[in-house]
Parts: sequence; structure tokens; C-alpha cells
Amino acid sequence: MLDNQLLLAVFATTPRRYKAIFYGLAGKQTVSNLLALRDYGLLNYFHLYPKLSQQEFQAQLVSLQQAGWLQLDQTDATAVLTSAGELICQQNNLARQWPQAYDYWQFGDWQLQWQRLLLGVQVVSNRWHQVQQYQPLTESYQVQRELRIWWRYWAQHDWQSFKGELQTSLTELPETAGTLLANSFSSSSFPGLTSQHLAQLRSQSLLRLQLAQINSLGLLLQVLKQNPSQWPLLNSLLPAPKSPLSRSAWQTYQQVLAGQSWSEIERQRRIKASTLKEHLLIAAILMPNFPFENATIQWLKHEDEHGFFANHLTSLEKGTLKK
Amino acid sequence: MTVPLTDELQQRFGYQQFRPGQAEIIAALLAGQDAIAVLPTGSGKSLLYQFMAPHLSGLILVVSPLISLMSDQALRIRNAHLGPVAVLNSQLTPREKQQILRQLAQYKFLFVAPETLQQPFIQQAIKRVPLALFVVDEAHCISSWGPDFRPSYLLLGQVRRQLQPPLTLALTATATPRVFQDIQRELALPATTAHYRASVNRSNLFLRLERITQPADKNARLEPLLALGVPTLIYVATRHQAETLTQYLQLKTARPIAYYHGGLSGIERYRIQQLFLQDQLGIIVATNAFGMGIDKSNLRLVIHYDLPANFENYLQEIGRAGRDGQLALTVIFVDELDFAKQGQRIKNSQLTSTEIQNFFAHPDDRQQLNDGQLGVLAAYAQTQLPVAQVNDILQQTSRLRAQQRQAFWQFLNSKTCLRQQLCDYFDEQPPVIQHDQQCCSQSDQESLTTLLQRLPLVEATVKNSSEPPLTDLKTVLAKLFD
Repeated sequence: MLDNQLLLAVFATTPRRYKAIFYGLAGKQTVSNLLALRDYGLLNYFHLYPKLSQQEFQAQLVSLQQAGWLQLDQTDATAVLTSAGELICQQNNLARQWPQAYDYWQFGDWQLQWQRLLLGVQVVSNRWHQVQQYQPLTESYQVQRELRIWWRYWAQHDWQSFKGELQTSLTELPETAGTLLANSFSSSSFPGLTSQHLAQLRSQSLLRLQLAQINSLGLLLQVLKQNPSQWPLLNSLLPAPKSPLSRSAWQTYQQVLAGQSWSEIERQRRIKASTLKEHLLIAAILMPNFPFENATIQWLKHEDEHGFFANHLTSLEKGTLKK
Repeated sequence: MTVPLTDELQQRFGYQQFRPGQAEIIAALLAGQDAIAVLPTGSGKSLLYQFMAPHLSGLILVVSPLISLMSDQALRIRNAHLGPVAVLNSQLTPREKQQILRQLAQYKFLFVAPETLQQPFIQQAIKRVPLALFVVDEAHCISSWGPDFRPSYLLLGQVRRQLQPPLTLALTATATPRVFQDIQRELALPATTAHYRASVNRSNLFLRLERITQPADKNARLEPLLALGVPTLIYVATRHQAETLTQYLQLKTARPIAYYHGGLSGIERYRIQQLFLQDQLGIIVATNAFGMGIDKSNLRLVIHYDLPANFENYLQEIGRAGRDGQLALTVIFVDELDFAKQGQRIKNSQLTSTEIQNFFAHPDDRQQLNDGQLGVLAAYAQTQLPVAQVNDILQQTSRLRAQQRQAFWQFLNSKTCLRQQLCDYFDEQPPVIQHDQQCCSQSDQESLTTLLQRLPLVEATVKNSSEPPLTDLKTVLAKLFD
């Protein structure tokens, strides 16, 4: 269930498109949604809440409006914080409750990383205690399969080093984050705590607890990725995506980087031109050092000077220059 | 015939004897007959097809409605080394599905969701390997008379015709004579189909009915029940109710307690189940999401704080108590206000013909429908049934639900033996119940206090102190790895 006060933190005193925020949180990747999230400084929170229901989101917006904290404009589908809403955000430090340390584009789907971490700990701990028959913590086929591959790859390893890696990496986190992650673990030798109980102990709602867990996971991943060779077992358990782009968008981007002309790319890919352009706009949003000056990009921009692609590319370029 | 079967049961599964109905169904399958088995929850339905594995050459295809149920059954088969097993459901990517299908000949068991089985490429892959047995688990989902009716089950008859399995086995725990007929008809099973229908009567369950006249009554009656200190499951009607009642009880009892509903993450549900199974949690407040696939043998007390939707749900839910055969208490709170509220909820979720037609014409238009209603319509859309037929089914189901609800309300307001009524409703040949002190009672016949004093509920070693605090990192790691 959404915690409606928390939702205030994704709005501002200037109008924001609430549908773009909804689709962004739910993980619907379109140029328009990503541009909006980028403008609002919410790009990290993409796909944070994949099961978010539109009905629930709308209901929360209405309740925030009724509380006098948010003003909705149904015609433009925008929302703006009222001064009372702004005050609530500041007093309760709501922005800090969101998982600022977790970047979807750098670490991928938090749910997958969370399941990998918990299942990895369960598998190694049960192995340590010679427990062979147990129910895996997650039903996800993908995660279970990855774990089997991970297990086989490290099969000859001294599993004491897994404990060592966990200990040293978690100790590098702020104490509350390390303790929170540790108490979220579970195996036959350590049942752990339910989220309900953890939330109760921390005097917070379940959603706030979950956001704190995601943030702690983000902090852990930051530590691991800073020095991968120090934590080889954990780094291979929690792999980062190779690129923030989808495979197809990555391919288009690489073709442009390789200097291919637009007609060559179109001919080779057999994908609609508008989709290919969308790939490039997404790359311009997500990839650092996007080559705005690239010949193919410039050609596309001038081919339809006032079109969707050229307009957005120009504004992205300006945004980059400002930075 | 049964003697060598019992030997095999001992050797392969370690059980001394078959439970009622198992030997009959296995013997029928071995003789080449299709079969329908109506056996109570926890009475070993899955053993039927597990037992058949070495006797059949080819794949055992099991259709199952829930991902968790499939994973649970597959895990049991793996742990017992009964044969290679694979699971196909919507969680897999197309690539992962292809991988399993390419290696299908290597598997002995394949678990598949009914929706997944509708996909032509999956049916084609199954046709390429020898199919030995087609199992329909939770077969009552095929009948609009059943409480868990699933549109995708309606197409299983067609799938069966396509696959032409040499043997078919339909399994369910809850089937009135009407549901039983629907299973046989929808799956197009021949008249020679063998069947076994166990009575729903479980003599170790004490049935108690508590009439509620004031809102405060429910919580007042919970107090002596929870003070028993036995593993307890409390059923409520909504997720919101599960959360608020848990919050209230946390203030009233030091016993570890958690709520459970479909909105929780898979990991959280798993953890709660595990802690409950290990008696680390004493009380769970749950919606009907707590159910299939969860087997806690020493559950001593099941309370229906809110009314279940119908007789079938009531039977299934009280059936989770006392699986170890020891005495268990089931209590249902009967409140007219709840009945009215339930009626309102049903009314709110009903779909009009116009809404159904609009959905099929414009699937992207939400038309003020709630997520539950959209979910039902999406499930029908997947079956690709014509809209007129969907409309007929939904309107008919809605009428049936109203009749069933009325019948259940009649049961809750009667003064005669509850157990006898339960048997009369479900059993084809209901036994005559010798009502006694261990059978059932109602609050206007005997007070709850008197009942609890005389009922010898077995003490369980449940952790009844409050839950532990946060553990520091070093200690957690020591517990995990030392």
C-alpha cells in the first residue's frame, strides 16, 4: 500500500505530470516518461514500484489534494505542491525517505538484486549447516537458475570467504543499513524477522521500511562496485547490468558510435525508423558522454528540424551543456 | 492387488499404509481407467501421480492453478528423488520456456499453469513426447459452481482432446455432487471413469459457532481463544482488516503475530509461512490468500473472524486445522452486519453486461472498473471465448454465488448439528452423525468459557513470548555461518 505522505516527495512547487511519474515508478520506458523523470530529478526511481496500481496511485493523489497538500489539474494531468504540502515535505524530510542510493540504471531491477542477495545468503548458510532440503526464499525461476550457475562456478571455493565478504562489505555501510540488511537475511539457522516485525521495531510503515531496505541494498552495491576485486563472490552474485539500454537500443547506439549512416542502420535493422530514433533519444537521456556532435545524429536532427527527435535532442543537449 | 501396492508404498515413500481412497484410485489408474479423486486437503492427493511415475512410460503432465503450489510440489518431487521435474508458468521468459520444451523428453513430471498450457507452441512441444498421464489438480476450478472458478480451466477439456492422453486424473479437495458432475463433463471423461469421494467429515475438528450481536463481541471472544496459546490462524475478509486486526492484537497479546495477504511480497509470505511452520509465530491473521500449498500439521485453532464467502471456502479453511489428527477447534463468528457488508462487497465487484462488452471492445479503457474486476475480465480475455459466452458465464456465476451464499447463511443460522449439515451439503452419501460433546456447539447453547474448559486441546510448543529485537551484524553472521 502506498504511503501517501511519501508520495509528496516526488512533486514540487512547479507542475509535474503525474502520469509520467506513475509510469516511471511502475517502470514503463518511453522517451516522454524518461524525459519527465529526468527533468524532475527522479530518474533513479524508475521501476521502483513495478506493481503500483494506477487506481491506488490516483486515489492517493486525490487524498493528498483533499488534505490540502497537493493541487491537481485534471485537464493538464499535472500536480503541484501547495505551500502546506511543501512544509510537510520539509518537516518530515520526505525526500530522504526515498532510496537515493539505489540507481536503477546502474544496478538494475532492485527486486532481482534483493532476491539474489537473500537467496545467496540462504543457500550458503544452509550449505554451511549441511541442510539440503529446504524451500528457496524466492520462487523466481530466473533467480534460482542464476544462483545454480553461481553456485557451480564457485563450487570449489572456501565458503568461509563468503562470510568474510559479507562481513567486510556490510561493515563499510552506515551501521543502521548494515543491521537492516543482516536482519533481512534468513536461513535454516537464522529465521530472521518478518518485514512487519522489522517495521515495528523501527517504528515505521512497511513501505518506508522497504524503501530503507532498497536504499541499504543500493549502498551495499555502491561499495561492491567501487572495488569489485575485493568482493568477487558478492559481485558475481549481484551483477550490474552491462548497460542501462535495452539490447536493441544498445545495438542502435553502437551502430551510431561506429559511424554507420542512418540509411545503413535502417537497412540492417529492419525496425521502424521512429523506434530507432527513440533508441537514440533514450541513449541521449541515459548514456553519459552522448555524442551530440556525431554525424549521423546531426544528420537526423537536420532532416526534420522541428520534429519530435530534433526538438528533444536539442533540449537534452542544452541540459547537458548547462551541467 | 493392494498388498504389493502397500509394499511399494513402504519402499518408495516410507508410509505404512495408504490413506482412504489412495489405493482405489491408484489401482484404477494401473488398470488403465481415468479417475476423479475428491480427497480432503492434506490427505495425499499428490501421492497419486507421484506413485504412478515408475509404472508409466512417458510424461506426467500436471495442470496446477498457483505458481506457489507448482513450486512446492516440484520441490517435494525433487527432494524425494522421484524423477526429473520442470515447471512452466508465466514467470518464465520465452527463452526459458523454450529451453525446457527442447529438453521435455528428459523430464518425468511437468507442472504447467492452465493459461500457459493454452499456448499452441507448448501444446505442440508436449505432443512431440509420449504423454502418459494428464493430471488436473484443484479440478473444482473448472466448475462455475466451485468457489475458485478459473476461466482458463474451461479450456482444459479442449486441451485434453488435443493431447489425447492415455490416462487422466482429476484431483480436488472440495466438490459438491454438482461440481463433481461439472468436472466429469468439462473434461469429457468417459462414463467408465473411476472415482473416489471421501466424506468431508473430520471427526477431530470441533465446529463452534459464535453469534455476534455487538461490534465489541468479536474482540472480547478472541481474548480467551488466543489465551489458549496454541497455533492459531484467524481468517478475515480483507487485506485492510488483516492489518488493522493484527495491529490491535499486538497491543493485546505478547504472542508473536503477523498478517498475511496477497499484497505481501513473495519473500515476506515465505518468511511468515516458515516462521509459522517452525512455531516461531503463534498467530497469523490472514485473508483467503493463506491456503493452498501450506501444510502446518499442528494448527489447533482456526477462527473465522469474518464470514467466508461460501460453504466451500469455509470447509477448505477449517480443513487446515488438525492435520496431525489431534483435536482442533474451529470457530466462526456470525454477525448479520458482516453478512450485509459482504453482500455490498459482492455487489461492488459485479460486472454488468455493458461493462463486459465495453471491456472486450476497448480493453485499454478502464471504465471506472477496479483492479479486481479488470483482473477477472483480463482472465476471460485470455481464454479467447466470445464475449457473449463470457457474459453468460459471468451472469450465471453471479447468480450461483448468490444462491450459495444464501445456503451458507442458512447453515449459520440453523440450530441443528453443524457437522451433519456440512456432510449433507457436500457428501454424495452423507453419513449419519452421532452428535456428541466432541462434535459441535453454538454460543446460545454453551458459553465459550465452558467449552474451552472442557475441550482437551493438545498443548503445542509454541513460542509465546514477544518477538526478538534486532540482532547486530556480527551475531547474525555467526548464526548464519558458524
